[in-house]
Amino acid sequence: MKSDPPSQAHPASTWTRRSFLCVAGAAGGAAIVGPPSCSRPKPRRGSHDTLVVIFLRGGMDGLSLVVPYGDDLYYKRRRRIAVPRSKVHDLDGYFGLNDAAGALLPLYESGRLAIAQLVGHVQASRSHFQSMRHIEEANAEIGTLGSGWIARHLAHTPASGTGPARAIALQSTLPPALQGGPATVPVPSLASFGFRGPASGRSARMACLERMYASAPEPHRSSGVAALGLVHELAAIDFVHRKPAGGAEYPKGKFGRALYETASLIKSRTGVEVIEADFGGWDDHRDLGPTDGAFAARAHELSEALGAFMTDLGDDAERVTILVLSEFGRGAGMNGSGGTSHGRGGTALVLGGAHVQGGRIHGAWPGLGRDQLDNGAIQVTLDVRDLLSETLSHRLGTSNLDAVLPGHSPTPLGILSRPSKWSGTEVPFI
Amino acid sequence: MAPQRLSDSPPDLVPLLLARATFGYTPEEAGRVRSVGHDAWLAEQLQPERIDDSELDAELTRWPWLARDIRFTIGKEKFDPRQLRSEFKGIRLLRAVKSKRQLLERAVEYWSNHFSVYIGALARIFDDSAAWRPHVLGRFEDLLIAVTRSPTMIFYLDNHSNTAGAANENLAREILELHTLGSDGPYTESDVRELARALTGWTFEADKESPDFGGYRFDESRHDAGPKEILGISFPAGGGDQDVLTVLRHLAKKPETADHVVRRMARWFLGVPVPDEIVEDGKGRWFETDGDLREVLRTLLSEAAIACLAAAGQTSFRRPLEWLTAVYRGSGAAFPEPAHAHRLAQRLGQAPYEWYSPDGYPDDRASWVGLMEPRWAAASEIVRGSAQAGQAALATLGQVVASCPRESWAARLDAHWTGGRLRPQEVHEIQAYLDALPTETPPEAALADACELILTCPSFHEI
Repeated sequence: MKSDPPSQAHPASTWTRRSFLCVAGAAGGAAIVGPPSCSRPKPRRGSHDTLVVIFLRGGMDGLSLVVPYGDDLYYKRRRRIAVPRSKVHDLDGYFGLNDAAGALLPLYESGRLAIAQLVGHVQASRSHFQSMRHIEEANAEIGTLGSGWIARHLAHTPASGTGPARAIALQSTLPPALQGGPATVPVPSLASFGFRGPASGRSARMACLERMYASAPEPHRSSGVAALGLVHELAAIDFVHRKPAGGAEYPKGKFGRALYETASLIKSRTGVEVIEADFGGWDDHRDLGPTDGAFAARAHELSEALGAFMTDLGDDAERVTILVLSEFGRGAGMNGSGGTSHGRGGTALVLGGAHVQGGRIHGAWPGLGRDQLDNGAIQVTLDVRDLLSETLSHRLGTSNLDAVLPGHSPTPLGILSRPSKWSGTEVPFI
Repeated sequence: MAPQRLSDSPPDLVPLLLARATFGYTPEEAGRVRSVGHDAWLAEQLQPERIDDSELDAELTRWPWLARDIRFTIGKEKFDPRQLRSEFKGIRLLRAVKSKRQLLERAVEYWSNHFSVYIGALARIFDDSAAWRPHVLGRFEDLLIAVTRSPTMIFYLDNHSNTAGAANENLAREILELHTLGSDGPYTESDVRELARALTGWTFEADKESPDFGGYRFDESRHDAGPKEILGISFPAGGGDQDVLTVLRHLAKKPETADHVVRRMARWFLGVPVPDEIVEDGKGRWFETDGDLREVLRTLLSEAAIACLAAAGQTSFRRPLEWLTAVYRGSGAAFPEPAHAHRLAQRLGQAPYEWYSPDGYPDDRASWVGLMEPRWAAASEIVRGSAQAGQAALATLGQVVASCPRESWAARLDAHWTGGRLRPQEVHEIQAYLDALPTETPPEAALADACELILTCPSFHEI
């Protein structure tokens, strides 16, 4: 895969830290407070954030995204595939953002983006598939619970809305995090989702299917009922012609389209609580191209899409938490193919509204010295379950954290804050 | 989870066998099984060279490049790579639907997923199936070697750039984890690195002018000739490309490989979860026959194994391709142009060679179960006809219900398409739908509606 040109200078963010006046969904039927001019569709969703999970499949090379440009060892180990100092935007004097991902800079500077370093699962595996399972099942032993962390959250937490589907994945298969969850549906494209066939008799055919699914054995019953219900739910939403807010421009391609559709869904206040939109292709064993090659093209697409998504969401971002995860980071060095090997600790991004403690880099960073590496890779210092735990307890209202993350004693990270209490211009939503 | 059937009579194993050993039930094939018996039918299918497939062979002559060496075609002639890739994938579906050698095609499907490669963004394709197709009913060891030397796998997992000094681990890791021992298998990070070193220099001939263009080539100048230690075996310096062959033969004999491969085969063919006794029988046969895949399939699909599934109430979720092929086989309709069929499979979520990562399409129910919406549209298009789905299947389906009063169309269509596997409530609901149609509804419209409902009702996805 060859690249698009990397991003050049990025226009100033349209983001401002406005007060959160137009609140979408006050809890428990509480009155909605806000200036009369803020007219919004009738809120249907409940009291918690919408969670957007973006899983970068393949093992995203965090060192090429959030570059330790202040460390000579990085340049020594990565040599011709290092991101030169001239191509990074300083973040904290040691780390810098790859210019290819420059669209993330205004989000970081305005505090809407937090970076977490050396995130991962705490097992020894460097397998893509085991690592994904470890992270997405979020359990010490994989394959034993038969469900993912999001699925368990949904199963143990009352629905926050009344819609037919609680979680969707914008792809053809359910990712491990969503497997086994109630009312969870893979939706390859929200824009084309529908019940086709000739119009005459369509509702009768749907009704017949609905009756058959309502009495079907599980898991067909709940997934079929949710999918059929989504047809009605999504029919009224414009996923094609809606003009993104704030002049946001999504990049062309599948991922940009997925986030555009996700924004449409969030703005239309359906009951969907979790949306997963994955982005694959990060397994850079060969020809990494961090400034003008394959990696740069992906980093550009990812950051442009996230930037557009945040601009488009506007104030709605106050009720959205976005997690960008990958199964592992990559080896500190390079191989003879101009690529990298599977590693351990990776880079995660957390985006959202004022509840994100952004503009800083979280997590311990031991460095790139020989003693800090294990088999060529930097270890995990931030157990991903701590990040999931904070998301669940602070933003998703999980009622039974022990059941969702069994056997895990969470360490507070301070990346996400709990919803703030009523204070003047703000509206309570807990 | 699996629909249970309450009945005193022994369950009819024929629809269960055909759902697993073929790409979909047809009354003709069911008749064949009933006439010769379960295990004899299986024996026939396991000798595909003795099955006359001339009708399909004649159809395949429309793509002359299939009969030639595709590497030659790519090297010397102008063509549209997008169109060729699309046809290449669609022809896999055409074979799946039309071949009389159904089990052979099922084996090809399984192994192309076990050794999954992504053929999408590649600038060119090589017809790797020519390299490994002859081995899918042969010995695992020969298949493993053929795939590891195949240019498509070498390219897909970057081994053509694997060079002495700083080895590229991509192919080595997946040989151990996905192709043989399994992710819990007895290997270490050191084994991955050492096998990667042994694989340095394994590449393909990239020179278009060479007569060997596209074939396996060992590039000694890129090979790390130093001594290696892989899986407890010491290799002295200078072993060339023989070291990897030794490792592959060693891997093929490991019990963990047998366990991983037979379990994965059983999941693909029989559904998830597989009763342990069937896996154990399959592994036993593997050890007795030194990994003879024909014999393993004979065991996994035997009358005893299918009866065991039936007794456990075990059903299998139809993955998108199994659904698509079953719909076409039952409809009797003309199969669309391969490029269109490929697009249809993309919409359904399982186009051949388009799973991005090397683990292959998922085999379990949990990954696929909610993906119903693309099937509603595809069912409608296949029944009523569309640019992608081809001519309406209604003409052939009309013959199915020709001598049948409309009051029993639902049961008739169920018998035709599944051998009577739908739940009685479903047949009842579909019949009630038909009965409620206005009397002036044209028969074709009623039939189309009924077929759509059959193909999209819950039990049709689960057999």
